[in-house]
Amino acid sequence: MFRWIKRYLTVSAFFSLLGMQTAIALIPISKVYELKTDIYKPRIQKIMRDQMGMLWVGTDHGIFQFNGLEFIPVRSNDTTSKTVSAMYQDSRNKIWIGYENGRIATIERNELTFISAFGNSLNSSISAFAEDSEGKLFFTTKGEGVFYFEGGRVFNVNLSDGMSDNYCYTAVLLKDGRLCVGTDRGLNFIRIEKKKIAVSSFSSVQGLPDNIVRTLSVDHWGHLWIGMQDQGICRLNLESMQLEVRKESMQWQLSQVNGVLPLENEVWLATEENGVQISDSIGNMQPLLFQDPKIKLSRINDITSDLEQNVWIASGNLLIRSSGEKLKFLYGSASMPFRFNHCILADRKGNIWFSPDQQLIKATPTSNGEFTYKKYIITSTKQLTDIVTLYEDTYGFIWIGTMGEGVFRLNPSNGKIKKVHGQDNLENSSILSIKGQNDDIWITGFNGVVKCHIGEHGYSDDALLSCIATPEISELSNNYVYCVLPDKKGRIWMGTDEQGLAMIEDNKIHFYTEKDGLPSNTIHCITEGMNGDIWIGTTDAGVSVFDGKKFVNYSINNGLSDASPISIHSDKNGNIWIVHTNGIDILNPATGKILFHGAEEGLEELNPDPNSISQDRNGNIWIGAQSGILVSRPFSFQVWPQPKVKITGISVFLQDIDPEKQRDFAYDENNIRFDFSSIWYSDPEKIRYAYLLEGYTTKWQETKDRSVIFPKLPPGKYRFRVRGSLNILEKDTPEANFSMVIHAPIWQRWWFRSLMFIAASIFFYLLIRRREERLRKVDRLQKEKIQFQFETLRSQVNPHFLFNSFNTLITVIEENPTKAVEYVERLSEFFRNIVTYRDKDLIQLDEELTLLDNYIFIQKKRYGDSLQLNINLDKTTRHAFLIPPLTLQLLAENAIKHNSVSKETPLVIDLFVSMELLYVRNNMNPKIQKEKSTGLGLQNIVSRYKLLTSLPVKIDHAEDHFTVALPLLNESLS
Amino acid sequence: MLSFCSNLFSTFTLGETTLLNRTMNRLIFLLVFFSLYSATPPAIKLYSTHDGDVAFRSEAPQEIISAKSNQLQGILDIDRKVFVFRVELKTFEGFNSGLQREHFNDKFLETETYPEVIFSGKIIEDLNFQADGVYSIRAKGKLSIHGIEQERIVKVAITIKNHLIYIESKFNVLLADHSIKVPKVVHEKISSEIGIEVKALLKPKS
Repeated sequence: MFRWIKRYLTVSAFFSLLGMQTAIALIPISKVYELKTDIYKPRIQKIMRDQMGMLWVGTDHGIFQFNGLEFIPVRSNDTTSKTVSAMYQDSRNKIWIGYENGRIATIERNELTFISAFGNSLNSSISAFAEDSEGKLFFTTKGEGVFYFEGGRVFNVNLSDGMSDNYCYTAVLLKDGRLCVGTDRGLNFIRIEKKKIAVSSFSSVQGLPDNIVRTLSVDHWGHLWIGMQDQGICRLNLESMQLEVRKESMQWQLSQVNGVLPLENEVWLATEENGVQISDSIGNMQPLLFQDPKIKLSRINDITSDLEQNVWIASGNLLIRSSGEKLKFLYGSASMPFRFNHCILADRKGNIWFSPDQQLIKATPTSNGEFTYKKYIITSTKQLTDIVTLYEDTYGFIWIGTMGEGVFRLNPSNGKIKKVHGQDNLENSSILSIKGQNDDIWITGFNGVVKCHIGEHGYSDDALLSCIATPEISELSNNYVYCVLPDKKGRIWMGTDEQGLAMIEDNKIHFYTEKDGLPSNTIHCITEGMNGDIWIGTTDAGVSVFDGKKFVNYSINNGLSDASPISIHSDKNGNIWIVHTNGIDILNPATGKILFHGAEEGLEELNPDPNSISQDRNGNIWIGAQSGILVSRPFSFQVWPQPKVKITGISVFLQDIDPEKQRDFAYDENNIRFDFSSIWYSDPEKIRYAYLLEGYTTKWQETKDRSVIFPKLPPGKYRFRVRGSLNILEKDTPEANFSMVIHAPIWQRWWFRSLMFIAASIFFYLLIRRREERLRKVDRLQKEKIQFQFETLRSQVNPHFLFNSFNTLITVIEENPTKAVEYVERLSEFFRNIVTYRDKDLIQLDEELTLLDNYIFIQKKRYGDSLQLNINLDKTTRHAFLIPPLTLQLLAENAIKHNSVSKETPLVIDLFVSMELLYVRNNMNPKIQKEKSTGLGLQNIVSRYKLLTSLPVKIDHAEDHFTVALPLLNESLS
Repeated sequence: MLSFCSNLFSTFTLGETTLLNRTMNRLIFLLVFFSLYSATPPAIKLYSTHDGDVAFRSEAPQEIISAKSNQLQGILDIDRKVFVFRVELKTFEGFNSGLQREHFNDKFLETETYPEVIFSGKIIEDLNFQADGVYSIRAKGKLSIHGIEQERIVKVAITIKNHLIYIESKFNVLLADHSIKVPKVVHEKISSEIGIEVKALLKPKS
């Protein structure tokens, strides 16, 4: 025990003597998301990133979608299939889910559909899916080998086909079309060509350190990374079949590897019991540490990356977002936190110099990717002073600019620091910037600019330095000069306070000011772009780029997240890094696109200073600010990451529709809601959307919401377009769209309208014609009636009839005066009836019969029994039917007129009803001398009936009978 | 009888890969045992034990608990390289108090419902059991504790000498993996990770 303590003391004493501390690791920034439902804490088994960048989380309680803000469960109606064991998205964007119980399901529109074909036949857990270039989908099982779908059928590849084992943990599809499967007995490479199965295996015989292959992954260069049960990881070059076992796996002491995630530089491992392990490019492995020491992970079930270069880790019910290798913090130690830095410098040897809390620190990378650090003390200063700028000259010496104490030059090999003497405005002055070129060093500060020249003995502590304010720069004396930059063309650029941008070329100074298009006359920082353009950061007017002719300005309207850049730097890819108080904007000068790292990624209250950014020999960007030291890897092979947007759902009156199938809507299906989503896990709240409904609106509408409702859309053709972006929404921002048609209601379509117009015209035409016809008919009826009346009256007031009647009357008076009275009464009633009825169109049949009876009575007085009238009508008929007045009287009169009535040849008139017709029939004994007849009487009856009914009046002129059949008219006709 | 035995084993092998449920497993196990006890010995094919040692140890910040059973039963078919081991939880002795043992049986492992621990599976390494020597192999199988089965790969040191097989293995079991719930009050007294140590001498079945 004592010996151990002694040794510890010795070791620490040794380190303290050297001024060296224990190594400090770079720590990525992490954010923990806890997956919890009301009832469960689902354990995450698998994470899958879909084509859009969205993460899907498979747990022991179903599947969840994660959008950066919340976990959205995927509905399932199968309660027996809960534990997800595999997830995959095929080339048609269909998501496949494999379950531990051997079932397989697909997800479309956030709904699970189970594939019934295997439901009962597979007993092994589904471990992986993979699709080849021909669209053939493979899946592997834990115990029954490999299956694949082809032509709607399922085929099995297993031991009998030459596989070394049926227990498959993992599978990936290789570029050459082979499926590589990890089993309990090594790797199996399966090729299927025209249903011929070729299997080759790769196991310990070929040098595989461990036959149990738990996980496989293919990196950017096409190499296969193999995670094993007991031997860590190894890398297989698939072309040469060379196997590489790196340092981290040589003496593997850790647990099984559940996941391998090869990044651009590092490889991240998910282990069963040892959390996440990070292995660098040469195989130095460190556990993933968290800023919050309370977070300790042991079993990692899965690990993956997103399109933003974040790494996602699944452990228990936790989903952890880590900044991976893109952003890492160097926190320092408890005794020496690396906070409150004013400046940073990455030297050519790989050391990082910075100034936490008035101290000078050199951090040196160790062989395993960690850093040791050394503290330097400027002994010659009167008191501790803020170090505001650092510069490495051509000799590798470090120039230190201080606040109020002037400039020092440090020899890194022996640690000696010497003050730089010269001009008055250099000594004991406050320095803001030091930059140089070859042997010339420009120093700026509160009192203008000084140019130093390194003469002889540049490599020695006693180098000959001459520092003067040359005539052209004396114009800037007594002014604040915030920054200086000698460019590749030999020009010296300087950012001044209120005097604009100064440029010295050929010993002449020129000022660019707001008049030249500069957004502000106070300039805090300058950098030179890859193409020689000069980028400047102003106090509060954004950044500006000068191509030698004009200034192009970028501000918040162009997507900058802050208008006050404090540090600016052009990286190895030509992107401009703009550091401000609460984060970093990375501007791509070619596209104008801006990427942002901010509070969500741990860059809250960064509070940098003008010299807070520096680039190391590997192109990494170091930022030393008040909140700490961080390093960022500029992305190289990846495309500029930007959120993709997707229309996640469309509903009509809140009823979801299938956007694949339905694009036509009826006129009343016009309340349409669009849900859309974009993924930016690094800062989900920062996403802005803009939408446009072509055919309805013309302006892009910006919103933060993830849905929009269009109520009461009029019929028409529409295209809904939506964009999602982190800053400004430009033309080339990725967008999603949906075209649809709302059909006009039937009455609004042209053919229907013209049809309706034609129909209406016809209707009105017919209406008018009918009306005219009716008027004409009424008119004719009137005329006929008048005619008839006239005829009747004429016949009745026929002098012959009167004469006969009166003669008869005389005879009757003489014979029987009582009867004569009756006769006169009847005659009088007859005439009265004629007068009463003549104006009417129709009278009751009974009334007509009374009239006829009277007439016959009168005539009988003359003809006696030679005239007979037989009425064969029942009482109901008499009252039920109607008849034009005087019709029957006229027919009787005609009969008397045309026939001889005598005892030998009596005239018999029969009235009877048959087949809805009223028959008037008389026998024929035509007079030898025909009485003059107009023939109008009968004609008149026929025409009057024509006006009253469609039924015809039938006239039967037989040899011995004359019959007129009149249609029986009823009340409805009147 | 011999063919009956091997039939049973083939069923069993199938069971290993086809996720037979726990009851079936146990039933077959008992049948195997029954048949083995009454079977005539084959030419050294089956090895068995009924007095193997199993010990567990929980190292929590506030308390170390350990218990041991010497009634581990097991059978190994060296031809098919399949095995079954079981131990009744009630046979565990040790603990720091009688109450602790009671809690172990009643509260944590619910021994009434789940009376035994079974580990059954196969040896996935190539190994010649006829040749004497010391080997390190991996046994893969289903570990059933507290009614929950977990697929495990366990490292085993095997010593073969004069037709005797001595096995020794150490592995850990996470309580959470087997839904063994420990009240928060005793978190400091019971580790979430229990160390298991197995030692057994398997003799040719006769």
